[in-house]
Amino acid sequence: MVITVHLHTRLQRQTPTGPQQNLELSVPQGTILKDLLDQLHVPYEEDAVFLVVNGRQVDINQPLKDGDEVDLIPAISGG
Amino acid sequence: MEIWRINMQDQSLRREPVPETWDRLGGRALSARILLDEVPADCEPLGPYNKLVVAPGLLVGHMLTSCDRISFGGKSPLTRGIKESNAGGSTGLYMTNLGMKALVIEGQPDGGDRTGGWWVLRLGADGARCEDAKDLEGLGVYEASARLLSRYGDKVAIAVIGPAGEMRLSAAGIQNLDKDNVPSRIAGRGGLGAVMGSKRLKAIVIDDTGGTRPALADSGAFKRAQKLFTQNTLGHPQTKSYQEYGTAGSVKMCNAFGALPTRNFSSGRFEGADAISGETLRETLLARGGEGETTHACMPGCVVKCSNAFADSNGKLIVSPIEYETLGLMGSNLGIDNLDMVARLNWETNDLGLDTIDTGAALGVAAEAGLMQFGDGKRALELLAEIRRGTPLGRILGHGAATTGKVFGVTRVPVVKGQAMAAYEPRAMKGTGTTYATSPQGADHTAGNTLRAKLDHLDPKANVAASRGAQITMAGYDTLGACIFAGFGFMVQPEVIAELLNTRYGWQVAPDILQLLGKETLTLEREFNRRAGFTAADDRIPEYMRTEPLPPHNSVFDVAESDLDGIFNW
Repeated sequence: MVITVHLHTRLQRQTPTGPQQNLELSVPQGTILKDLLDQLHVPYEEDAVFLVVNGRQVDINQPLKDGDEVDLIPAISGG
Repeated sequence: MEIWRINMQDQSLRREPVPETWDRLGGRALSARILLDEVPADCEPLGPYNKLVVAPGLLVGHMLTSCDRISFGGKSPLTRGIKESNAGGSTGLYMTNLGMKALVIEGQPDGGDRTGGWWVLRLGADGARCEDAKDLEGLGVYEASARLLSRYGDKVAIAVIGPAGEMRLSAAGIQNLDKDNVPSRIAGRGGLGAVMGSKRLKAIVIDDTGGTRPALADSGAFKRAQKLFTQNTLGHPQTKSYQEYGTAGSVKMCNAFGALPTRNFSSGRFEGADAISGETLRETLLARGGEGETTHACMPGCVVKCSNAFADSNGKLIVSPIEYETLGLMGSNLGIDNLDMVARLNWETNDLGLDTIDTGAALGVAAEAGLMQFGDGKRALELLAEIRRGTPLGRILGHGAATTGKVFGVTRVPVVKGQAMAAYEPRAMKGTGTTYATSPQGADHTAGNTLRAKLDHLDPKANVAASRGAQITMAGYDTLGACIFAGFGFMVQPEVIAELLNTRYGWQVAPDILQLLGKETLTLEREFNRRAGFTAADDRIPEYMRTEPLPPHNSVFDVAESDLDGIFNW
C-alpha cells in the first residue's frame, strides 16, 4: 500500500536539490505508524513530535491503510 | 516598588505604596485586581472612568529569558468586558528599573476624548511630565517612534499608538519597542490603543537613567534558579524549532490539522499553505540575505528568539516580525498565498497601530461582503489605506470583524464577545475553540491554546479539560510576565517558578503558585465581566460554527454547553 508522508520543519530532508518535504512510500499491509517512523529513521519522543494521520492526531501504534496521509511534525506551540 | 498614577485631567503624578492586596500580583492578575477595585464595570470604555493599567509581570526586571513581558489592561471598547493584552519588548524592563509595580493612567484632559490635545507622557527617575505631542498627531508608529527616539535619545522604552488609536478604533493596540528600538511589539487585542487614545496619550516614553534593577531577596539563589531555567529552555526541543522557523512553523501544522482559517473561516485547509509556510519563509530569507533574519529576540536576554525580520527580493526589510497569526489572518484567511504581500499588509497594519488578527478577520468579512476578492492583496492594501485616511469605510474596518459584519450584513463572523478568533479554527481545534468561547478575554488564543495537547483535536469532550488547564497556565504566565515559550523551561522543572519568586521577593510560595495565580486571575476577570453584564450566553461560539460543517473534517463546534458553563468550576 502507498502512504504519503509530509515532513514538517526540522524533519525535512536536506537533499542536493533542496529540502524534501513530501514522500510517497510503499509499505506492506499491517504497517503501523511506528514501523513507518523506524523506516524513515525519525527519532520519536512523545512530547517532541506530533503524529497526524489524515488530519487527526494519533498515537504511535496507529495502523495505516492504503492512501493515508501522514504528517510528522516537530512539536510547536503555535504563535 | 510603587504604583504610579497619572491623572490626564490635571496631568498630575502620584506615587503611592503598593496596597497589601496587590503586593503579590503582577501583570495580568494585578491589572484585573486594579480594574475590579477601581473601574466601574458598566463604565464607557472610552470615557473618563476607565483606566489604562500598565503592569510588568512578577518576574520582569532581570532579563530572565522570555520573562519580561508587559501587560496593558482596561475595560475593552471591543468586548466591553475586561481586557488584558501583553507584549514583549523593553517597556516592562524599563518600568521595573524605575521601581514601578504598575502605572495607572486615569481621567481625560478637559475637552474629553475628542478635543484634549495630544500628549507624550515622559517617565523618568525625576518623575513624570506630559509634553505636547501635536507634532506626532496622525503619524504611524514607525515615524512617531523615530521622532520620539530622536527627541528623547535611543536609550528609552516607548509605548505608542498609531492613527487607529487616535481615532479610537476598537481594533487599535499599543506598540512597544523591541530590543532594537523597532515599534513592533503590540499589545494588540481588545482595543487598548483606543483607550490610550481616549486619554489623549500618543506615547509613553520611559527613561530609566538613574534607575536600578529590582532588588533580589537572595541574589545567589536567584541566579542559580535563573541558570537552571535558561538551560532547561535552551535544551527543550521546541526551542530549536522556534529558532529556525519561528511561529510561522505553525502554518503547515494547522493546515495538516484542517484548522488553518481560510477565506473567512470557510475551510480549514488552504491550497496555498506551502507558499506562506515557515519552511518557505526560512528558505526565502536565507536565499535573499540582506536585512532579513530567520531568528530574532524581541526582549533583551531571550534565548528562544522566535521572531524574524522579513526582507524583500532585494534584501531590504519589509517588516519585522512576520508571525503565524498574521500569516493565518492576512494570508490564508484572505486567500493570499504570497509572503511579500502578507508582509506588506503586516507593515501597514502595524504602522496604523492595529491588531493584525482583528484587522485580518475584518478584511475576511469584508471579502465575504464583496468589498474585495479573496486573494486580492492589492485591494486589501487599499482597504487599509481607507483606515489611514479615516474614511467611514476605513473606520468600520478598524473597529474589527464584529462591527464590519454588522454593518455589511454578514452573519459568518468569527468572533466571541466581539473579538476575532486567532488562526486556529474552533471546529477543528475544539480545545482552543473552548478557550475562545469561555475566556473572559473574548476569542483569544493566548488565553489558552490547546494546539500542543496530545489528543484528538476534534474530540468535543477531551478538549474541555485541555482548555481549562491551558487557560489557568496562561493566566499564570501572563501574571509572571512570562511568554508562552518560557513554558519550555518551566515544563521541565515547574518548581523553578516558585524558586524564582521566592528568591526575588523573599516569599515562601509553594510549587503550585502558577495554578493559584492563574485561577485567581480568571476569577477576578470573570467577576468584572459579571458586573459588566456578561452571562453564559456570551460564552458561545458563533451559531454558524455550531451548525455549518467545516472542510476537510466536516466538523462543527459541538462542545456541550454544560461543559462550557462548568469549565471554571474548580
